[in-house]
Amino acid sequence: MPLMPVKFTLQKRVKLAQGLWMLYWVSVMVGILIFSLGIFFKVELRKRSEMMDNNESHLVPNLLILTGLLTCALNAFGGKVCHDSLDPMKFAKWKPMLKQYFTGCLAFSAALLVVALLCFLMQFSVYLTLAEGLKNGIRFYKDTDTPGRCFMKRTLDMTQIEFRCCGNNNFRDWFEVQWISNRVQTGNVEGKFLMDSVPFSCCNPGSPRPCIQHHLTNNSAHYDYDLRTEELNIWTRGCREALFSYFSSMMSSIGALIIAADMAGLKYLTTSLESMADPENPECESEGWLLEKSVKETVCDACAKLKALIKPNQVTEGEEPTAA
Amino acid sequence: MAVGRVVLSCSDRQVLARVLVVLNWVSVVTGAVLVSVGVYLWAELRRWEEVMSEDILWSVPVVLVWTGLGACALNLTGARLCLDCSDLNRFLRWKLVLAPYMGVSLLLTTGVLLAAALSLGLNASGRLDAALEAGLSSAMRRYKDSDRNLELKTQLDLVQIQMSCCGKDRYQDWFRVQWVSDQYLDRTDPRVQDRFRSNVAGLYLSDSVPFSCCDPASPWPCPQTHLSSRPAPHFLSLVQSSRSLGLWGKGCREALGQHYSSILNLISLTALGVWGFEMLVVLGVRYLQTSMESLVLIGDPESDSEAWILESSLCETLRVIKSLGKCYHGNDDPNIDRPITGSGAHPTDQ
Repeated sequence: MPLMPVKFTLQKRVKLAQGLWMLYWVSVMVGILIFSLGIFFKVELRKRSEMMDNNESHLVPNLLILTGLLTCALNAFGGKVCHDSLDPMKFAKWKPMLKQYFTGCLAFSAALLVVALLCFLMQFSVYLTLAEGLKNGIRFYKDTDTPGRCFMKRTLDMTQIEFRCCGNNNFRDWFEVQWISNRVQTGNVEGKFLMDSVPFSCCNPGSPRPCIQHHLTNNSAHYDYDLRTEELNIWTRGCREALFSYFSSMMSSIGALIIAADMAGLKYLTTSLESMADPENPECESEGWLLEKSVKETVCDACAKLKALIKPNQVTEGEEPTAA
Repeated sequence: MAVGRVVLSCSDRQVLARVLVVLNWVSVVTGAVLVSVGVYLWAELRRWEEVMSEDILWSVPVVLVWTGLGACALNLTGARLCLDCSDLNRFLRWKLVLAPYMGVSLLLTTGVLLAAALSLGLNASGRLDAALEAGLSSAMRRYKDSDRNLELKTQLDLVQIQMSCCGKDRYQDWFRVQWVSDQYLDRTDPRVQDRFRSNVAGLYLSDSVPFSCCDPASPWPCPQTHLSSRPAPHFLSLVQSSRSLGLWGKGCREALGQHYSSILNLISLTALGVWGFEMLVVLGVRYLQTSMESLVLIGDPESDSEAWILESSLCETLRVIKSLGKCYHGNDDPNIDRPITGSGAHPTDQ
């Protein structure tokens, strides 16, 4: 008993084929979008790789690029088949490949779900890499004359300005390191020069008073200043939180887009199965269905085939006694 | 003697109509490009509006957006029109619309040319530079009034950070204005009182700059204060001496001037290109119109027909236009029918 049989006249088949062709091309666009989002994500990771100690994992953007390309290819093929499905001569050459194509599409949909899941789960690894990278960044801020670290100051300053943040957890991280280069001031206690001051990139342009960078905890050092009530002077957010929220929102939206595309994809996959099932005689009515037998029977058939593939020896052993 | 007279066969007309349809669709795209360029300029002007004093610059994006939208709409109708005009029967439906359509097209192309001329003129005449000079001086003087206009202080800081500049022409410009608000100065401190007394205007002037003048690429922390006590050697240029201190090397007038200049140059080039293209389309539609009109007089849809730009020479056309204006006022047009008074015999009597 076929699953969900539907009777198709010629007009209905033509309409279904045209509608599916449109949907396939929309899916190609979505594939291109996923591909470009993957590239954008990879570029962003590269840009901030110094903040992550060059340790960041490029697994997710690479997967996105691959799935984007595969989505385009699969859906373009599907669109071509749809276009040809109304002409029995052209369709005849595609007919044998259809079953494999549909199983491939189903497997690909499952793979897309896995990629979407990865998008959500890899955020944790991004968070940890950021924490480590920023800690090192703050430590190496003053080493502008050490090869390999000379651009850390500039990168960290630009990050703090762009993302409106200060320090790793908050601005007090700057009090724990010597960030003023030894060339400018010589150390006193243990050769280190620790002050309660922050770099200029922590300053908030939206503050009504000129930026107070030095002696932040000393209220009497500045006129009419109280650290507890002063909120606008420097950025209060930590850079780890700022960068993480940026990356996590990007990854979450990409994951949500993939899930939405996947759901839509599964829906029209079912309709295309209906249309392709029986277009033998072009003029008369034909029946279309989702699955040739019921769900249970199809699953049993698939299991049997799989078993035959995995254990071909059992079949030959069974035959031998009869031959003998 | 017609201007640009040419003979078009039936197939020529079909080809011309099809080419014009494609060109009209391309013109819709160029119209959209004009609109987007206009919106971009408007957004950029809005971004730094506190430091610009001139209002005339806002006219450029307005003209661009309106002419772009008009061009889009006009060329959409033009595409439909040209599709119909290849066939004689369908042309008769559009016959009356064509003359006003040509008029509006010419008006729009003039609008595009006006936008190009405006942006070129503003750039070349120095109006842009003067606007930036006045705007930046005023903004630096009002920097300290953050209690009344916090937006100005924030924007000036962001200009310096994002455009990599400090002061109007050099960082020393900040030494000449009081940029620290009075409410954050301790008047009881003798050092502060000294500063107030040190100049005629009674302002708090110091040799320090705001934090937004700092250059992140400098290898050492930014020295914002006591800048006069760090003199740079005379042989260093402004850029080099500023960089050696860790401040931005450019003045904001130069930085913003370059930024807006490049946008206005882009706009004038784009507008000129679009104008040339539109004139081509108008010319093509004129040829199609005149060829179909002469075809109507001939009557046979398959035959060749003449096409021209102007029916008579340029001077005669101008005379006709002048007389069109006169005929509403004058009574001496010989073509007006008037009963013959006097002894003249009627021609039909003979």
